[in-house]
Amino acid sequence: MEKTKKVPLVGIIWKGTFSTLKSNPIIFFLFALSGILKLICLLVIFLAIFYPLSIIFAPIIKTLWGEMFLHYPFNFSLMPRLFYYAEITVYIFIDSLLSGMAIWMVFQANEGKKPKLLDTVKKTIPKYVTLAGFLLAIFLIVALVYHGEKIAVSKLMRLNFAASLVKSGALDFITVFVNFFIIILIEMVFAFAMPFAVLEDKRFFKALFGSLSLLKKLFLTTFILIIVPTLVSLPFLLLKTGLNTLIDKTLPEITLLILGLGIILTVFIDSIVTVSLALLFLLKKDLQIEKVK
Amino acid sequence: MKRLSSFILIALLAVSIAGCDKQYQSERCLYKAAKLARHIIMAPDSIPPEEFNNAIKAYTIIFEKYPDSISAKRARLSIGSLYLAKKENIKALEVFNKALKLYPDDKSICIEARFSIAKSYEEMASWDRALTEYKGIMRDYPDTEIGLNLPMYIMQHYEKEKDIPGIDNAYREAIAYYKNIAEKNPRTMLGFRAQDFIIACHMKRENWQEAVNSMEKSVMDYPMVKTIPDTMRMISDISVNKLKDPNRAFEIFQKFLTAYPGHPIKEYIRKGLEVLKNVSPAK
Repeated sequence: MEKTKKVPLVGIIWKGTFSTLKSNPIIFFLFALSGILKLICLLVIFLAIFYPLSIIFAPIIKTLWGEMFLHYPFNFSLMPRLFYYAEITVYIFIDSLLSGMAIWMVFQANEGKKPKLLDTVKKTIPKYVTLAGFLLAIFLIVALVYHGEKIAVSKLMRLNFAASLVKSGALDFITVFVNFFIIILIEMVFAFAMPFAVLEDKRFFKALFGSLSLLKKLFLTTFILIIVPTLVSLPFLLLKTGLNTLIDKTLPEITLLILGLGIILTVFIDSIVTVSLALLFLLKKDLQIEKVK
Repeated sequence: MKRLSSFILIALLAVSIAGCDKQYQSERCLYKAAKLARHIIMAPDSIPPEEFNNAIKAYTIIFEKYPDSISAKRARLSIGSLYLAKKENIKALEVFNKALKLYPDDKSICIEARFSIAKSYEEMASWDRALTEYKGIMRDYPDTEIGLNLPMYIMQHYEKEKDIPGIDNAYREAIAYYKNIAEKNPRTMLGFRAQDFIIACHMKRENWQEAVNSMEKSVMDYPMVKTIPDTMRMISDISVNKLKDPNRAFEIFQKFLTAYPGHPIKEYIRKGLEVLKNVSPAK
């Protein structure tokens, strides 16, 4: 029953998402800014072994991972790990603010006003700690779940069946799918936390509880709004898992290409997911107001 | 648009920085050549001559284009290895000798070149000349991985040939060689590795008494290495199953506990003592 009711709602939200992004390109620009920052990080990582950046980075890489990673092709095998650290840093400290700003701009656009960058910054900055807290919490939960998963896999390894999966390389790919759904579920828990914090001035835990109670009512819609755009990133996650084979079949430079394309793709996915969830939040709020009236 | 074009400009600048770095470029060429050569090393007989020549050419370009790079040195050795794989031993010898002549100060290149020269002699069924070369490496580079492994390698050669006097002689020489290193480098990683090789030699010759004696020396001299539990287990297994003398393991376990009463694996040793007590009818 729920499905027949909710799917048209998803359609309305997506339509609204694209028209909001089209008529307010500044919202998309915020996500693009995050993408550009990540691309710069990727570039710095690539150039870390060359002069003049090598003055700073070469001793660090040499001490932490070994001298071989300062040379071709090993520099490319360290690149995904270094980029992961950079990406997480940008995600927690920059994306938090930019996402909050985007949500405020969606609200402004929904009210028929033209979103202004300076006003948005003024409105979002005071909530920065809460917003960064959400993304830090997501990161910590994901890290904790991955750690538990690693322990579970090492225990499963004692079983012949699991050991054969490892040998065939299938376990790596199964893990990608499992991790993908874990991230989706965690993202769902926090789906409306940012709108609650930005639009209703809720503190960390109140916003989180608000998000959870709203999720209970809109579970399927939220799930579809998050999973459908995010599914596009699945082939990239699979490519990253099989990166060593891919490098062997092509060139180590493919790492740079995959990570770069991944960033560009994330810009689109993030903008669609964030705007659509903000619109769903606003729609739900409008319906509640109408009900009260 | 302006921002995008400046970003593209930065990206292009980055690529050109990488492109200008000669060492990096030489490493890229070396990687590509190694990729070509990989199939040849794996199946040298089934490779068409054209493919072989392409691999040689790919390596040659490196030391022609980047003569002072580390990749150039590696490229020379790799060409030698290709000839060796193709059983063109005279050509291989020429290449390895040239590498020795060109890079006399590069220790790792010299060891590898000399080892490959010896291998070439072996391929030419000239064991005596190979042995002279191997012994030269052992003398000049005892503190390297190749230097440490060579006495065992020589022993294995005689084993393959089923040459009993040769095996005995190589065994004696290997023990003397490792003992010398262990004595000259006490409390060092090299000393420990040499002691480990002594154990391996005795085990290979099934000289269980001496194997246990050298394991005792190893655990007493190097009590903090990670492999202590494994060595203790081996001492126990050999004493019980091969020497039929559990008391020997019991003595070593007790000696270890007395010397290192606060050792992190003291409980493990105590449990071992309990087990050995039950195994030994005397205890």
